[in-house]
Amino acid sequence: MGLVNFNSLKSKPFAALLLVLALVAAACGSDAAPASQSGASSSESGGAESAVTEINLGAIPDQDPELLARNYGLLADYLTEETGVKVNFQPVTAYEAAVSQFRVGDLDLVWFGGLTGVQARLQVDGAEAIAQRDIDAEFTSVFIASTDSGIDPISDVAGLEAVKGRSFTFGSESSTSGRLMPQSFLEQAGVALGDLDGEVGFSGAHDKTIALVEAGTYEVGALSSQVWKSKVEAGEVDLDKVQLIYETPTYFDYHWVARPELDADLQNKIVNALAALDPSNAEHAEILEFFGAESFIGTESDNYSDIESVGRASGLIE
Amino acid sequence: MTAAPLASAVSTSPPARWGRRFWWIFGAVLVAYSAQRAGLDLGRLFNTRGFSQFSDFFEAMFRPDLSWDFVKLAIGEAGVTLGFAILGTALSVLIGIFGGVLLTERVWLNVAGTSGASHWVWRTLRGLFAIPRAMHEVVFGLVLVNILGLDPLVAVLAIGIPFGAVTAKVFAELLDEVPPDAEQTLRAAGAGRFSALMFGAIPHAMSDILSYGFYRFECAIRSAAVLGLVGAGGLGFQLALSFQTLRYNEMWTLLWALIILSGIADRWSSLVRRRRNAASVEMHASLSTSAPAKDPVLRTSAVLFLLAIPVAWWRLDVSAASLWSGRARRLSTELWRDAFPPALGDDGWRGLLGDTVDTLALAVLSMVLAWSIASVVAFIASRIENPWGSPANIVRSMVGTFTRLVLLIARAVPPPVWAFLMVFILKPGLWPGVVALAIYNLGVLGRLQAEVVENLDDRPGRALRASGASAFGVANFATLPAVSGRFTALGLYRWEVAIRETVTLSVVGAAGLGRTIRDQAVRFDYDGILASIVALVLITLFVDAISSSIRRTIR
Repeated sequence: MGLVNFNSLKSKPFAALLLVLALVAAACGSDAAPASQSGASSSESGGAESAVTEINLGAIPDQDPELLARNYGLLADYLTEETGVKVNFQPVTAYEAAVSQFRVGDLDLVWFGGLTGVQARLQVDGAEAIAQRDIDAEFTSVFIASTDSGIDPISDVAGLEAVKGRSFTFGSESSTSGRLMPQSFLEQAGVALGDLDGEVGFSGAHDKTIALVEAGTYEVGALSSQVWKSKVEAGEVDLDKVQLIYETPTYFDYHWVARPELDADLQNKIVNALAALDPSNAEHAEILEFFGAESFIGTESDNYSDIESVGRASGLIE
Repeated sequence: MTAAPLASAVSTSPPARWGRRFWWIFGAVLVAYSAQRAGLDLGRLFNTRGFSQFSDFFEAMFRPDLSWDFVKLAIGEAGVTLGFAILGTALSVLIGIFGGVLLTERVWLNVAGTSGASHWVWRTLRGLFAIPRAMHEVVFGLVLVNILGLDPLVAVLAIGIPFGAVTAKVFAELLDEVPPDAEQTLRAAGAGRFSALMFGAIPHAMSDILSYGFYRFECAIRSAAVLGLVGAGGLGFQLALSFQTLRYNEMWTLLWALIILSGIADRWSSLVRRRRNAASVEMHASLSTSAPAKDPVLRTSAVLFLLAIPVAWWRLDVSAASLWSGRARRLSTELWRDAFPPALGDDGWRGLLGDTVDTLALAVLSMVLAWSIASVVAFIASRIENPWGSPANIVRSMVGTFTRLVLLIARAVPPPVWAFLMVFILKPGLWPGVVALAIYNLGVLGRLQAEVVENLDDRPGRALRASGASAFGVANFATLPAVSGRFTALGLYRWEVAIRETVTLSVVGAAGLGRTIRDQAVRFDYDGILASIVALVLITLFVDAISSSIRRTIR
């Protein structure tokens, strides 16, 4: 049974189909690599004794994607130079996808949030928190309210009782500053999720939380104070519609987590390289500014034991 | 046996009429209950203050980010999405052809014999294929990423498996409808049972299944985008990145790329299918009347598609080897151990049941909305013959083109994006999800129903008009009776699909099982996810069963 009928080449729809194929070729022929492309991961190399030839570095994006690709590219190049091991950057869209990819070994070194970092470590024996930013030891969340809601600024945790009976949104489900810690502070103030007006929302991201509270869809929301401050400074928040009502006490948040395949020596090299980032060096300054930090410092898994217990209490860690 | 009443000779027989009445009442009760479930307090429905944010998104439609770097990125990602769609469709047609033969009743009757055991095997197989059919691509993606990690195969399999199961069902029904003549002739001439089926029945249905494959391709483009949104790469992936920080201009660059891509795929798919039986748009398993395998458009398209497969395979750097790697085996064992047995959440059966009912209500309301609007819009969106014939035709044709563009945008923007936009102007709850799914399905249904209108046999209408009937008369006695059955069948089919689609909506307060699965995913609560998936499969099978009995009644 011959499939090609050459007479059909003369038919008119054929021209349209050729166009489609040309588009297929043009689109496929561009040099952008598929985002889900898998590099030769070090994790399949077997035991810890075999040398790691490549590090796949991943990050959860809560920033402008163009900046993200550029700055992580810079960071990957810098780390390649300093450690002598090829470092590839791999963006990830969702927090839990980053954890899964770390678990299966497609990502070796990931910039996690507090909660996701703990979740990832618990799923991979021997994984360790190795570094954080200077600001991550004293991270905070903010509660914001629409001005129409009539909620006044609050001075302490107990004041969060004012949120009772209001509609409320978190950010992403597994965000530390946008969900876990705000939920924990609400509970400290005696506000359970069932005390809110309707089901609690999950906007999906810090910026979306601001947008939804501004729109009045939700009366109150919680997000990372870092994002709030930078958006306010950039003049991207309509302060007539939404206001800051409370900034929480500090907690540990973002950190770098490494898989055990990266041996102690290599982990040391990475931490030293991160710590050596110097704001007076123009190229380093760009990376640090992107991370919103003055410097990176070493850290250890024990710093996140509070996050772990809060996570267990809220059922996010089992 | 009692004699049939005289009345039945006149019009519909009483059982059929009672059947219809029953389904009308059933439908009305279902819609009323769903609306009550979603809440009917209009004062708590709208959020007028968010309108400016809502319109910001649409204003950005005319100012996409056209910086060369970003456009280059969008083109590259469009290639990835297209590649996923091509490979996913190829896999689904492959599964469809083999699965279809396996599921065909006559295979079990003719080849395996008529014993009770073979009938039992056939039933079991049908049941097994129903499970992947009931699961959304996103659910497959969620599971596969835990086994395969960052691998393009995740997207290919997530599209190919559920689509393959649907294609197998359609192919089996097609094969069962093939007239047995050729097969019997071959048998009489001494051919074996298997070769008689191979050469007597399969070629006859092959061209129909290929043209159906092109319909799957157009669905696969949209699926690939939604999968990207949950992290699989391509346009949807970039869309998710830009969406997180609400960069609407970037979103529209990517959305326009998606609109162009799905516009081309849809048109191609219509062209291929229009040559086949116009009615076999979706699940209608009726054989085309034209001689099999002689359609030049279908053949050329099939060849082009075959050529595109290795290109996509190579560009996406797909390697089937990762499927049987030691790691995939180890991870799937681990995943199964974590997920089995399924477990209820903190809210127990009550919680699961509540979510399931919410999911059903969401699908019912969104489909009633989408179908009612699409049934009107279809007439406006249909292409007309001789568009340059008269000034009236030109206006009509321009309105039609504009409507088709609106429908294309409605189905190219993924449902989760619609849902987020709806939360600006509607209070959180079921309604934003209902409206989001309704808009998306209006895009899909409006187009399919417009095709029904285009392919309508216009002779009864012309005859009525010639004998002096008014426009209303023509519509009432010729057009509406001709389209209503197909419209309803399409609506019911989409209802089955809508149940699956609810899993993509988790941004909005209450959205049933989709919301729950998302919540369980961030806890890595695999046994909970399995319980939710089982509930989702059961409700889809329930809706499938209702929808096919309604279709039988109205046929």
